[in-house]
Amino acid sequence: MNSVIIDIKSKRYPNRMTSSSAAVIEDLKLEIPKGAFVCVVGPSGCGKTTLLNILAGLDEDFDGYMEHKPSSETPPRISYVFQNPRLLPWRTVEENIQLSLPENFDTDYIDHLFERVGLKESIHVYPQRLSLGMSRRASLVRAFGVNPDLLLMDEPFVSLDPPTARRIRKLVLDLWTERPHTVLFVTHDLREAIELGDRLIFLSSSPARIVYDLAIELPRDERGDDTIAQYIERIRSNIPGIAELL
Amino acid sequence: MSKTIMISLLSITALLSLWTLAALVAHSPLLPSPIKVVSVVIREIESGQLPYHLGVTLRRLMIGFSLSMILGTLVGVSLGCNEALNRFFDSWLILFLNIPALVTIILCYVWFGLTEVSAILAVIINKVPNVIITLREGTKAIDLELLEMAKVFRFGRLKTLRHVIWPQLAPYLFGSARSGLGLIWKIILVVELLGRSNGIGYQLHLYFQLFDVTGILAYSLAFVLIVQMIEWLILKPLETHTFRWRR
Repeated sequence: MNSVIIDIKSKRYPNRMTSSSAAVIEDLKLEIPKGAFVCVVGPSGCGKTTLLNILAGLDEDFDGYMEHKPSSETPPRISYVFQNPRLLPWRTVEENIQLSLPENFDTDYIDHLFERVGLKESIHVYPQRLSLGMSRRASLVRAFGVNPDLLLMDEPFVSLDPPTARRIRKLVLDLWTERPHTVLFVTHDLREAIELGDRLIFLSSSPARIVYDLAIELPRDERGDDTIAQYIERIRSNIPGIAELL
Repeated sequence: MSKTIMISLLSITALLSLWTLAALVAHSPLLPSPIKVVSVVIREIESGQLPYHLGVTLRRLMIGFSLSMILGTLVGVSLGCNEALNRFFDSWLILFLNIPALVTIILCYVWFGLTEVSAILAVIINKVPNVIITLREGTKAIDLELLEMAKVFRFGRLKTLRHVIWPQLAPYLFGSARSGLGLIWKIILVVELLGRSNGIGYQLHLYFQLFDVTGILAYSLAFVLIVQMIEWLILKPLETHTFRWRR
């Protein structure tokens, strides 16, 4: 069974003022099986982005280890939907996506993705002309386009108006259903996590540890607003101490 | 478009008229009219003197400019990337930045002789610290988030350099190229005046000894026009192309 295993004994950030360091993550062990959609929920500033950066290989300064199974010669392909879309402003939407793709990318799939996210008309436009929602959708094309072994998402719907956020959430789910990559999705919005994920990981406030690991049994097509609200109530009453993290 | 051309034409005409008027009022060989200056320019072109000296100076300008830009960019980017290196060389940089151009020119001639190499060396020593400082700041301002994106999506060194780093350094390069051109050609004239037997600076020196203001103005005018041409024909189009993505 393919999976990603991460075991962080401790991740600390140095504090320049006091020349000491503060722990951001402590004793966090997580295994993500292939094709799982795992949502990580926790209070803001608890170290969720740090966790993603470690998984992405951007932060190698931590005590612990990470393993992709089965390990192979070629390193696993990782893609990342950042909180800001992080498109190159001096390259068109199409150029931005092409730069990120491997040499032998699937042209048809990219065309299909552009079509699905509704950016087919805008591929020759520079990112400054796009709205935030459109930029986010372009970054989804980039993230799915590389056919990643692991797809990381860092609150990709933050600061969007609710209808736009809802549309893009649906889009993510549709794209993922077409090709179920392994996903680690970070959010502080429990509603959103329940709508999307099939597993919920609750993190404590800093230093982050896993407080609770919950499989979401609700079938995806039954996750309407009311069902999700009831589900949240159940979590609140069944899991002691969870309420103060939400 | 036609409106901007009209305004430019009007502005140049106004300047020339003022100059002509001043020359008429002064009525002295120390303030010749534009027509007189232009006629000297034509005379000097026909005699071959102006093209020769202009060519010599332009060659020095191009060599000094290119070497300063290359050297300054390499050092500036290295200092911007490495904080320890930057701290070590910072005081050196301040020192070189504040040595008067005249002092470096004299020292180069004294130490290395009245040669072409010391002339160009003097130009480079004067310009390089400016390029270093501009490019160092440019490097510090590079967006780390975009670099992270490039790393995750495996751009590789070349693609990162060309598509992520270069576009961010470009404004700083243009800035230092502009100010560099302005600074270097002024320094070159002094370099030529002090220790060379050709070039615009040498000619200016000659006309100064003859007290020939028309000659001085003719050579200055020719050179200013050439530097403007470099701006219009090379820098501007290059800049427009590089920043086509800006709204």
